[in-house]
Parts: sequence; C-alpha cells; structure tokens
Amino acid sequence: MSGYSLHEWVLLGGHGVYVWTSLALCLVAVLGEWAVLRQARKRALQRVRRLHRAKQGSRDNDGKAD
Amino acid sequence: MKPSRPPNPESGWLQWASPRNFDALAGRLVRPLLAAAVCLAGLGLFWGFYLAPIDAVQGHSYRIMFLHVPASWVAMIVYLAMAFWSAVYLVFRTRLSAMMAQALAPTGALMTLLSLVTGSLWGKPTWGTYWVWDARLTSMLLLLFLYLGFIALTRSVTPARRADAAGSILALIGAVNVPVIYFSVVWWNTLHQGASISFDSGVSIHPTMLTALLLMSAAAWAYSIAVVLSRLRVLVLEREAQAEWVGRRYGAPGQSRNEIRRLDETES
Amino acid sequence: MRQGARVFLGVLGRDVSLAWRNRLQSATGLVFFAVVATLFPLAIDPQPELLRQVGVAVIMVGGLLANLLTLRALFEDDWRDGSLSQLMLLSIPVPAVVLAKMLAHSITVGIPLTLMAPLLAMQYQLEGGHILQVTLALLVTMPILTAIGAMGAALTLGVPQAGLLLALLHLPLCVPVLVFASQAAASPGPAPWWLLAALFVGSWFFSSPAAAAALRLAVE
Repeated sequence: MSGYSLHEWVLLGGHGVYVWTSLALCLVAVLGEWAVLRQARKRALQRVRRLHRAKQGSRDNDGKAD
Repeated sequence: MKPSRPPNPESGWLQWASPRNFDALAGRLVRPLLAAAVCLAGLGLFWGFYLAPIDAVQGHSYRIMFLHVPASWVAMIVYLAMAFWSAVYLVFRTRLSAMMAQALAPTGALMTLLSLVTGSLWGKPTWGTYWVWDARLTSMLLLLFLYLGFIALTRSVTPARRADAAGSILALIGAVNVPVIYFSVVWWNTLHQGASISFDSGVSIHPTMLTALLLMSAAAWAYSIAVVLSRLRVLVLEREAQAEWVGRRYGAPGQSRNEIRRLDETES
Repeated sequence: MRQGARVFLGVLGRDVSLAWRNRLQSATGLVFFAVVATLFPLAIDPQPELLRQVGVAVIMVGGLLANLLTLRALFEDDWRDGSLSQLMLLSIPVPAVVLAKMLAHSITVGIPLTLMAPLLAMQYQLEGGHILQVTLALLVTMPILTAIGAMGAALTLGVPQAGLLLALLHLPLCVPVLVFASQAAASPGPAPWWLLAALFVGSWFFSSPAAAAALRLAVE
C-alpha cells in the first residue's frame, strides 16, 4: 500500500467507502462501549458515596443518642 | 479430632473469588491492558491499512478482514468464557463467577454485531449484496440472538440470585447448542448453495497480512479483557454497594486514583 | 415404582384434562397456524409451483410459531395459582413432573397442530406422498419444540415481558430443528430423519433436568 498517493489511499480502488466505514463503525463501537461503562461507573460510585454518607450519618446519631 | 477448616479465602487461588480482592487486582490491570490495546491496534491498523499490499482477487476490500476476523474470534470465545464461568457458578456458587459471565455478555454481543456489520460491508464489494446467507454470517446472527437472550434474561429476572442462576443455566444450554446450531447451519448451507462461499476465498495470505491480523487480534483481546474487567468492577460496585470494604475504599467523595491505590495497598 | 408411575400418569392426566377444559384457549395455536398458512398465499402470486416450494417452509415455521404461542401456559397457569409448588412436592422427582407436563403439551398442542398439517399442505398444492412426509416431519418436530420451549418457559417464569423474552430465547435454539425438519419434510433420504431422532432424544433427555432446575429457582 506504501507508494500510493493519499487520494488513492482514501479511495482504495472504489472500496474505500466500505473499508473506512467499517473502521469508523468499529471505532465508534469501541469508544461508545467505553463511554457507557464510564458513565455506569460514575453512577455506581455516586450511589456508593450516598449510601456511605447515610451510614456515617446514622452511626454518628447512634453515638449521640444514649 | 481437629475440625476440617474451610478453604482460606485470604490465600491461594480462591482469594480472587472474593469481590474485594478481585476489585483491587482488576483495577491495576485495566489501564496497562488498554494502553497495550491502543498500541497494538495502532500498529495493526498501520500494517493492515497501509503496509499490506493489494489483493489480486478482492482488491482493497479484503482489508476489512483485519476488523472482521478479530471481532468474530472475540465474539465466539467470549461466549465460551461466559459458559465456563456459568459452570463455575453452578458448581461453586461463587457470586463473582456469575457476575463475570454477565460482564462478558455485552462485550461479546457488541463484537458479534461488529462482526456482522463488517462482514456485511465486506460482502457488498465482494459479492454485490449486503447480506449473504452463508454459514458463518448466519451462525454469527444466531450467536447474537443467544447473547441478547442472556442479557435480557439476566436483566429482567429478580432477585439477583435467581438472575445469576437462571443466566448460568441459559448460558450452558446455549453453549451446548452452539456446535449443534453451527453444524445445522453448515449442513443447510452446503445442501442449498453447492460450493461453500467463503469470505477468505481467493485471498492469498501475504506475510504482511498475517502480521497485521495477529496484531489486530491481540489488540481486540487486550481491549476486550480490559472492558470486561472494568464492567465487572462496576457490577461489583453496584451489587456490593452495602459492603464495608466498598464504603471504606470508595465512600469518601472526590478520592483521587492515587488515594484509592494507597488505600488498597494499606488494606492488603 | 408403580406408585411413581401412577403419580406420573396423574400429572399427565391432570394437564390433559385442564387443556381440554380450556380448549378455547388451547385452540389459539391452531387458529394461529391456520391464519399464517392462509395469509401467505395472499401476499404473493399464488402460482402452484411457487406455493409448492414455499409450502413446506410455511408449514414448518407456522407450526413452530403456533407452538411457541402456547408455551408460556406450560408452567405459568400452575405457577400463578400456586399448584406448581404443590406439583414439585410430589413423590416423583421434579424432572419427571416436567416430563409429564411436556408429554401433555405434546398431546394437547403438538398432535392437533400436526393433524392440521395435511389440510394446509393441500392448500399449498402438495401431493399425497409429500403431504404424508410433511405431516410425519411435523409429528416428530412438535415434541422437540416442546422440550426446547419447556426450558425457556421455566427460565422466564413470572418474569416481566416473559413472552418476548421466551421468543428471544427460543429462536436460536430452534434453528437446528427447523433445518433438519424442513429437509426431512421436503427431500428424500433418511439422513435428516436420523438427525431429527437424535434431536428428539437429546432434547427430551436434557431439557427435563434443566427445566426442573429453572423451576426450582422460580418457585423459591
């Protein structure tokens, strides 16, 4: 493939549409999956912190109330 | 007489069955794996889309192979892994095993979908149509249904313990059926199409192509393992949210990654 | 042993008589089968040659879908009124209870659908010998579909969107049956019949413990 001009490389003998679309879709899928996962992790961490704060809160209250 | 001791979860291989230990280990593995995946993919794409020569029969469209084949591999082997961890769950009842199967499924499904899409885009310049009812594509489509069924079942069933067990049973049923399904599709295909259409037909393998294929396969594996471990960590966070160790490790807001790592090290 | 057989036949008889008592509901599958087979020719040019070619496929797929429609009721009605847990406490093992229910389903759903096949085959311009072939293929296929469906029905018992989920689970597992049965119905040669026989034995052997395990999960 080396030795082709940029123009030829993009077109790939007419098959460029299929090849580059495939690559683009794979990139979108991979990045999308990662992004969705990061969102899920953020949400899970937020929930954990809320629960932890609630537990700390009730623990402090138990300490006070005797 | 000394009473027999239960297996010690603090040492030996069983310690990794504990969500807490797994979380620490996986956390350290994900970033190196992702880095490896990016490097391997970069190299592989350079090799396959730039260095590899044109093919005499298929022209340039064969380059989709560097995306299609790794995706297909991952799709198939992830299903086997899902079945394996499901079997482990049914035998040992370790929660983490069932969660591992559920973490594998979305990645497997996505890879199956990518395999179908890239296969379809490969088929258009090669045979003129976007869909061919050949044995491989048809089997991939059915594999996608198997994945979607597992995901739908494990997300719809409550409580979590029933979902774990039901999903495990389904994964095993699917795994047993995959060879049967594949055989029946191949049989159907040879009956009705005469000569079997193969995607790789006519592509003479050049050593550059092989290198690119290996690089892309390695990249796909590194990426998939990283994503699955990551997803399993999220699952652990979601299901073990009430546990003490989770609160200690993640409870304080705004913890930097270094702080979490230091906490991990002082704990272990 | 004789006591076990009596209990088994008891479960079988109960399911059959229940299906008979609700025969309007049980007839849903039959009606669906007839509707599908009737609609197809209306959607194409009903040339006899074309009909003959698609006839076997329409009958097979129509039969499969009609069977699928009735699968949810396999366990759900009993589960809903609590009799399922009673059935699981009987003196015979749970897989045997599942077998009895599967047998009842084959008798009350599979056989009527099979009996309808010759009528539909005639609508598709199939000849005498072929009609018999299609009917026999369907006769063997229906129990296999019941076995595969029993697993899915047990796994999705009581789950929201159970119908949709069941269809999704059922579909890929049915492909081998469909492929071999269509070949058995349409072409000469013993090979597909042996494959169907293997599927019959395999599916009934493996689905009863699998469905039993899934039922235990649902009833806990």
